[in-house]
Amino acid sequence: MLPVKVAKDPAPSRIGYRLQRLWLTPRFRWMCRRGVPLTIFAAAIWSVASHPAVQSWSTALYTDLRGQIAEHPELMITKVSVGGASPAVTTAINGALDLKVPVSSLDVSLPDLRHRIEALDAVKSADIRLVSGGVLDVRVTEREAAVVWRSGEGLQLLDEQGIRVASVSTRSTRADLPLLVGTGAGAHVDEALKLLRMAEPLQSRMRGLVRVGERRWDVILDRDQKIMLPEIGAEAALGRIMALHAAEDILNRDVVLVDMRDARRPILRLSDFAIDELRRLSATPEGEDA
Amino acid sequence: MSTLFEAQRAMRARREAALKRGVVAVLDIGSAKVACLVLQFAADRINAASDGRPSLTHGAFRVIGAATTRSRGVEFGEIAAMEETERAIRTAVTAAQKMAQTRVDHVIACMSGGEPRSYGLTGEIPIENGEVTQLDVGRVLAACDVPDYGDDREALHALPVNFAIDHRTGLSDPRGQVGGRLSVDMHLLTVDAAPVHNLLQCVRRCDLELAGLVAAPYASGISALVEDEQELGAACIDIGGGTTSLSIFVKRHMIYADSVAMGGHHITRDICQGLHMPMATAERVKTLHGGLMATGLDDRDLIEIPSALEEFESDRRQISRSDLIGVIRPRMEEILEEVRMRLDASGFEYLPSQRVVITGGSSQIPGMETLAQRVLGRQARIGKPLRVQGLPQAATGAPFSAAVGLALHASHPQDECWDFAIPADRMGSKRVRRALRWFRENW
Repeated sequence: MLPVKVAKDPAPSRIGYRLQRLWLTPRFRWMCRRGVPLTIFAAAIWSVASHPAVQSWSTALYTDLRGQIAEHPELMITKVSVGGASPAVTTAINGALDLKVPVSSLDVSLPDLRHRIEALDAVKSADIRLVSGGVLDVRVTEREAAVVWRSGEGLQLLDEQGIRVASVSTRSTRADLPLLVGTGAGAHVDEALKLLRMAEPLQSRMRGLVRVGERRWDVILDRDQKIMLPEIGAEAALGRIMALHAAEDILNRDVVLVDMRDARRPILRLSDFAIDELRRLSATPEGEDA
Repeated sequence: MSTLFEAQRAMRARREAALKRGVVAVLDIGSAKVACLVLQFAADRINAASDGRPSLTHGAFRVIGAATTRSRGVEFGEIAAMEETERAIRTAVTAAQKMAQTRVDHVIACMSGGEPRSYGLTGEIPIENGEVTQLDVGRVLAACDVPDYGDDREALHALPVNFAIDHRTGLSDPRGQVGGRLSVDMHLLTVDAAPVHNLLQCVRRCDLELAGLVAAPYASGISALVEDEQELGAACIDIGGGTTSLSIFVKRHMIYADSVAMGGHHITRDICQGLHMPMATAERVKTLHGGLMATGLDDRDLIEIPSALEEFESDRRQISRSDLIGVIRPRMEEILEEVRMRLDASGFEYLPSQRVVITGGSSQIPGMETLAQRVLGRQARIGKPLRVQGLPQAATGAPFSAAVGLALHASHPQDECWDFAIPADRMGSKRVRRALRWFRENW
């Protein structure tokens, strides 16, 4: 007898055939291999992370770890040294820094400190660094007062750019600095300084500059002499006056006012006595002794 | 004619879609085996033709999957048992997909049975503008008078073979030429509708979409004939398992196709009956020891045949090889005689060159060339399919010429009648009628 052998059908079943075709579909394959595992992974992470207990635990862990690291002695600031500043400014800087040493250097932000120091009027620029030994080294450049400005708000010291340095109570505290008077003078300190530099020969007689109507300058000298300068071309006008003074010595004469507001026509005002005297001399006939 | 080719147009559209996607399978459902090749098209080598249809040059594709399985349920090239055939197709497609590591949705299949019949049609029109345009070609193809080939048959191919302008004949592409009258010779190939529908149904049951249907002799001819033979005229005889199909090519066009419902299976059955052995043994003896030309040596060449009653070791039989040849040869002669009759009926003798190329599984029997030359009276050679890139060595033999031909056809199809635009005057009334019907049905 022949053995009864049932040959196995090599054909795939219909369901197997369809499954194979499905598996060979690129998109389905990608979903099975990447998409589904990634989605499950992401969902698991999200569900764990959104649990409040986990969140509070992780926050506590973070703060704890950070505190441990920050408390290392190598990272502590124990001293603040301020260099390049006068004692009053140093006090002001210490107040602005507001550091309660010892403090961890992880808890302070140097750019922030620098901004705080530079916000002080008396400080032009500041340079902050941590040096070894837990020292916070602050180097400041102070603003140098160039003029004293008297305005409605009192006496103030301004630097060359017209930025406020400090307030003073009396003029005599900084008698070495020139005086500016008038509203809006603070905004034109550079022009005023140029004028003052041109008027160097008159320095002993100089009382100050007055800003008139927030547009032009008056130069005030002693003996109540006044030089009125124009709005535009003030330097040139003052230059002419100085040249006249060098040649004719006019400011030492009995002149009350030199009006240079109209450049084509400088006007001198003499004192009353000088006018009377001038009239008297012109009335006296030629050749007669005064 | 416009209603006639709707299905073919739909298949063409699907083929173009598959070409864009880059992967298409070819399926050769024969009586002996089902072969499936998965082709991958190189997207950069698709060159859009002047009319916008994508086409490929030869060799622009690569075979990335190939599988063969024994065919079941197919007889004489027609599906006899749907379920079995479906399983065979599933086996082949599964294996090919596995090898290709990709999924295929579109298949191009070939049709070897169904009694193909060839018709030569002619059409003639006056050229309207003096110059032949694409539209004129469409019009002249539409003007062909289609014979009444019966309701139960389907047109498988309608190839414009030859164009003529004012008695100037032999033009392959008349577009742009100047003349007064344009005429065309068209080769229409029809097959029985039932096998075609069965095949469609079978492919559909495998979740695949049919993107083209090609006659098997046409596909074999494309791959087995070299260019000179296609140009000068040659016959391709594809001797398969259940059918022998033949096609005649000239000027690179198939001008005739026919089939004989005899093939390798009949030889096996003859051996089985004549020499008393089981079918499987007969098949094995045929492939191992078969031959067609007996010599004196064959009398002494004894073939041992295991007995049907395997248990009795001593009960063995021996036949000489000349006995075997004596059974095989008459049947092969009969097949070739039939082929010769078809060739004579087709007017093959008037072609300039009359090469005969024999291909298909049964052409591998030794002595085939000599016998074919004797019976057909013409030079014959065994044709192997054109080499294509990526084809496994096992699939390069003569049995695979139809499958390879399908692949070549898929990559570079010849223009068929339905590729050309139908003139609007023939299209118009139908469209209006369809729109009206839709309107009636919905409101």
